[in-house]
Amino acid sequence: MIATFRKAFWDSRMGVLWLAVGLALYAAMMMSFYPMLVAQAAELDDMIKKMPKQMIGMFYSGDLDEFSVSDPGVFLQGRYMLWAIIVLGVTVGNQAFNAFINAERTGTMDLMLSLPVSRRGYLLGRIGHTALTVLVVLVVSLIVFLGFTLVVDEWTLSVRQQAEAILAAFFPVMVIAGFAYMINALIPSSRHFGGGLVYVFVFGAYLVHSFCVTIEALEPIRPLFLYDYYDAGQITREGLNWGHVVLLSGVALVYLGVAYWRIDQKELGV
Amino acid sequence: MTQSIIETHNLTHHYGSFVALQAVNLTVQQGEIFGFLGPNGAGKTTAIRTLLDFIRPSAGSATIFGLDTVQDSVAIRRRIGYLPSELALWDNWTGIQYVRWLEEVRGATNGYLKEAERLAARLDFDLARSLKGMSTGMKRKMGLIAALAHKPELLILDEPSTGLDPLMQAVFHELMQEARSEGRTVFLSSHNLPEVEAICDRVGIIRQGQLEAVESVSNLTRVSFRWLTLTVAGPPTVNGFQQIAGITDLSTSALPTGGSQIRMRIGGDVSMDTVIKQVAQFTVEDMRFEHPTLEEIFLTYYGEGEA
Repeated sequence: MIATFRKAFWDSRMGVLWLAVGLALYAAMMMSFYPMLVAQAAELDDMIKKMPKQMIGMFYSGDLDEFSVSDPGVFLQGRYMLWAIIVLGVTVGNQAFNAFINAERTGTMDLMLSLPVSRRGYLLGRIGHTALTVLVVLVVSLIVFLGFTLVVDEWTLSVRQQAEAILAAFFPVMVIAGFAYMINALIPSSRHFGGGLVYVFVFGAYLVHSFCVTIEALEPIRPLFLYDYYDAGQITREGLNWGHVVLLSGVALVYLGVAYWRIDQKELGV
Repeated sequence: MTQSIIETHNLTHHYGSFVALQAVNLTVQQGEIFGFLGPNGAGKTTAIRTLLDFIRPSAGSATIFGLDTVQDSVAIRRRIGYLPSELALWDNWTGIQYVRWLEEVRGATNGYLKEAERLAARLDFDLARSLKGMSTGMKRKMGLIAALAHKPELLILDEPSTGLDPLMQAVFHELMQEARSEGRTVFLSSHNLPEVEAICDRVGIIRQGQLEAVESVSNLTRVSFRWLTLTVAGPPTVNGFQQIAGITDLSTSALPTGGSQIRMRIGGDVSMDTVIKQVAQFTVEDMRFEHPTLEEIFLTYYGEGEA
C-alpha cells in the first residue's frame, strides 16, 4: 500500500505542483479585483440585486439572501472555492480513472497486479494519494489567502475563518473522489461511460443545484447535492458546520467502502 | 521428489457467453519448462490471467505452490515472476528507478539490485535509460529483468521472446535453462514452435479454450514436420523423393530461368540424412526449410477431419 501510494504521488508530483500554482495564480488575479469591489460595494450590490436570481445562482451556490459582493466570505466562495472544488473534482476523478480503468486499458494494471500487492491495498494506496493531493492543493490555497491578509487591507478574514473555510473543501472533494473510485470498481473497463458519470456528478450536480436555489419546484431535491453542504461564505460567518462535515465524510466513506468491497470482485480488463 | 507447482482442476472462464477456457486440467512439475502452445485466441493468456488472479474462474479452481490462486494470490505472486504478452511500462521512470521500486514492493532482500544489474548486462540493457520511447524489444528486456531479478520459484511468461533479436533470444534461452538448472519452474506461453522445441520439456496444446494434449517436446517433434523448398538447375524430377517414406505433398514447377522448384512435406520421423543425400543428386541453387504453423501441427496431430 505504501509503495503504491509513493509511486502514485511521485508520478503526479509535477501535476499537483502546477495545479497548486495555477490555483494560486487564479486566486491572486481574483484578489487583485477585491479592493475595487469593496470600494464600489454599494453600487455593485445594488446592481447585482436587480439581476435575476437565476443568474446570480449560476455563480454563487450559497444562500442568495446573504449575497454581498464585498463580503469576503461570499467572495471566497463565489470567486474561488466553488471553482477550486470543481477543478479538484475533475482532478481526483482523473486520478481514480488513472488508477484503475485507464491502467487496465493501457496494460500497466497487469504489471501492478503481478506484484505482491492486493487489489485492496493498491486501492487504499491510490485513495491515500488522492487525499494527499487534495490536502496539498488546499493548504497551498490557504497559504496564498493568508498571504493576502498581509498585503490587502480590505481582506479582513481571520486565520481561523480562512483555515476552516478552505480546508473544509476537503470533504466535498473526497465525496467526488469516493464516487469516482466506486465507479472504477463497479464498471468494466470495456464500458466507456464511467468518466461521463463522474463529470455529471461534478458539473451536472453543480448546475442542477444552482437551479434548485432559484427554481422553487426544484427546492425539495436541493439537499441531494453535495454543493448544498459546503459554503465557504457561511463557514466564515457561522463557523464550521460539523453536521455537514460528518455527512460529507459519511457519504465519502460509503462510496469508498463500496469501492473497497467491489474491487476485489471486479473482472479486471487486463 | 518432484512436486506439482501448478495444478488446475476443471478451470473454466467465460467472457459473457464466450467460453475462453473450458475445464482445463493441467499439472506443471517443479523444475520443468512447460510450454503452453496454441494459436491466437486459443485461451493461453486467459489461462495465465486466471492463474495470476487478474480474472476469476467461472468454474473450477487452480493452485500454485499448493495455494489457492484466488484466496492466496498475494502470497503466490510474491514467489512468481511474470512477463505479460503486451508489456506496458510506466514510462516516466528510468530502468533503475523501476528496479528500485520493484525491490521495495517485493520487499526483496540483499542482492536484488545486483541481480538486476547482472541480468541487464546479459541482455545488453542500459538501466540508466528512460523507459519512455523504448522499442518493443528493449521493453521486453526490461520486463525480463523485472520478472527474473528476484529469482522467483515460478516464472510465468506470455510470449516472452517477441521483439527480441536472435542474439537476445539465445540469451533468453540460456536464462531459462539456468532457471531450470536451479530447480525453478517456467511456464511459458508461445506460438513460436522452434523456441518451444529449443527450451521446453513438455508442452500443453490448447485450442478453443480446451487443453487438447500435454506432450513431451520429443513427441511433439516426432509428429511435427517441415516443408522443404528446393530450387534446382534443370527440369524437375521427383522420383527419388517419392521413394522416401514420410515425404508427402510433393509438387514441382518450372522456373522462367530454366531451373525448377520442388516442394515437399517431410514427416517428423523421416531421416534427414536420407533426404539430404537425395537432395545431393541435384544441382541445388537454393534450399529452404520452413517450420509448420501450429495449425498445421494440430491438423497432423488430430487428423484433418477432426481439426
